[in-house]
Amino acid sequence: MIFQHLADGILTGAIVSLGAIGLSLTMRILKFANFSHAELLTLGAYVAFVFLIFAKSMDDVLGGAIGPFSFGLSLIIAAVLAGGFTALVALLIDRLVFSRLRARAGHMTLVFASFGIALLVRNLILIGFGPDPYYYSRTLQKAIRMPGDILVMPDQIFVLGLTIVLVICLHLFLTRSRAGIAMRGVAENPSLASACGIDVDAVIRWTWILGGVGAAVAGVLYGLTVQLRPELGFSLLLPLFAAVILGGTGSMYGAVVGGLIVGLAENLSVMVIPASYKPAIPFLLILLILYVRPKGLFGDAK
Amino acid sequence: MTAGAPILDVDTVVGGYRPGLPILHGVSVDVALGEVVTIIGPNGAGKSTLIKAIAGFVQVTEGGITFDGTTITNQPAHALIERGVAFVPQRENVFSSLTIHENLRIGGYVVTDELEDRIEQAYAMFPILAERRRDKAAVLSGGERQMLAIARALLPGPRVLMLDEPTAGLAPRIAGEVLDRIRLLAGEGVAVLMVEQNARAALVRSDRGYIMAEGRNRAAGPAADLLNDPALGETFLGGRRHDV
Repeated sequence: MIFQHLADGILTGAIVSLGAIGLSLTMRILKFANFSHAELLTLGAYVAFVFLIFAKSMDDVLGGAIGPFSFGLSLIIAAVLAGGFTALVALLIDRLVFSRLRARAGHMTLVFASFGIALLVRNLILIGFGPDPYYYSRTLQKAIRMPGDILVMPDQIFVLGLTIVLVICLHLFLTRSRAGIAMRGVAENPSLASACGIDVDAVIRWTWILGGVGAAVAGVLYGLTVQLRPELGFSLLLPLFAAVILGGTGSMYGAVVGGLIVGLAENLSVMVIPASYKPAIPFLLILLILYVRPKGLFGDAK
Repeated sequence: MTAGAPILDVDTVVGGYRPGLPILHGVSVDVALGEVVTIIGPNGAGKSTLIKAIAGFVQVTEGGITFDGTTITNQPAHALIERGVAFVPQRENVFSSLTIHENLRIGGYVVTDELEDRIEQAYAMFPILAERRRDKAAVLSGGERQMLAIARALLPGPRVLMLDEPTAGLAPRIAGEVLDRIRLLAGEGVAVLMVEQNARAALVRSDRGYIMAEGRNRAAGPAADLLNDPALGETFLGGRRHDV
């Protein structure tokens, strides 16, 4: 039984990690807690759903479901397009709201603005799609029995595999590429980065793009394992922040580890407390880490 | 040494951090290639503000700054390094969370080719950095940090290097080593403009100096003349000699 909860925790944690990476990056570089980030997950998931409707009309060309998975090439294309669209929306939100406030207000103003944007995005999705759930696929999947009598869905294995690949790609980008190192430089010291010839505004734009794409992919992956609802992102808000705070704001590796800890803690908790109390676990983790190690597991003193 | 035509010319600059509240009230300085020029003065004189105004971090409202005959007044900071003007801030002048090698890679952000060759040249110039290239900059001592900051600023091959109090917080012996390095850079043809509180030690290694107070030029001339002026020595150089 415990192995099943461990497996479920890792799978939940993978999605939380992916969303938390983008949130952590934007928090570090833009210096504020963006509460609208979770809504970008919802937006990405729904936009992918719309693209999927169009893509499915081309199933003759694209083919149906791939192997044991519930989805085919059409969902992958839809997810890529949703990533691009969500990144554009993130850039637009920055241009219309955050960049204007950055120039003249403190970070708390930005935080409250992000609450407003979160409400706006969530309710626009509610108006557009209604409160009823949607599914990327209604195909019934057969669970795979893993060693230790663990049952997992093929889609869950895909989610975990893709998360690992994306984390490795992001790691290589941030440590090996010129743009990635510049991004880390801006995150630590924008003025010094500027003195090195880095256009900080351009890096901020790239941060939104990365954060938006990461959120959309996390949203699609989450949507793949659950149903699409307007509060999809909102339900992940606390786990996302818990993962970022646990890992240490700004640390990509911290976000990954934090996400896994949150996923594991949530799923293991049902062994000792009623499942209805599960959503409180991230909150307890936030309190615990703030008390024991306020800078997080991988964070610096800043 | 005999200075040529100024490569960097700051002409009666007025500016500050807030509109309508200037800190600089018509300051002029210039520096030529191969020359070390030091700006000294009491706290609050506007020295750091001046160097930040040249570097694009402080708004200039009147006057002008030219580099190699081209106006660079109020150019964004990130655009200046491509033109050949490098700036080393006083505090937080290295990326602590990055390795020494990554710091140098960021220093060469505008370098489009032969970046690794240039980094190896920087290691040759500062061997202590080569030995610790995989270490995080956070673990470096004050002197090593200053060396890294200078090495990083030199990577794009600037013609003007501006330093804001490069010896702040350093032990006298280390401060002397840093200033000696800076002097050597000028010998390689770089124009060096620095702000220093460690006035006497800096002027000893400078060709010329400027004295600022209350956001204005108070005196200027060859470094030796400033050092030997008894009135200036009493007021701005702390009176007693304290060689580094």
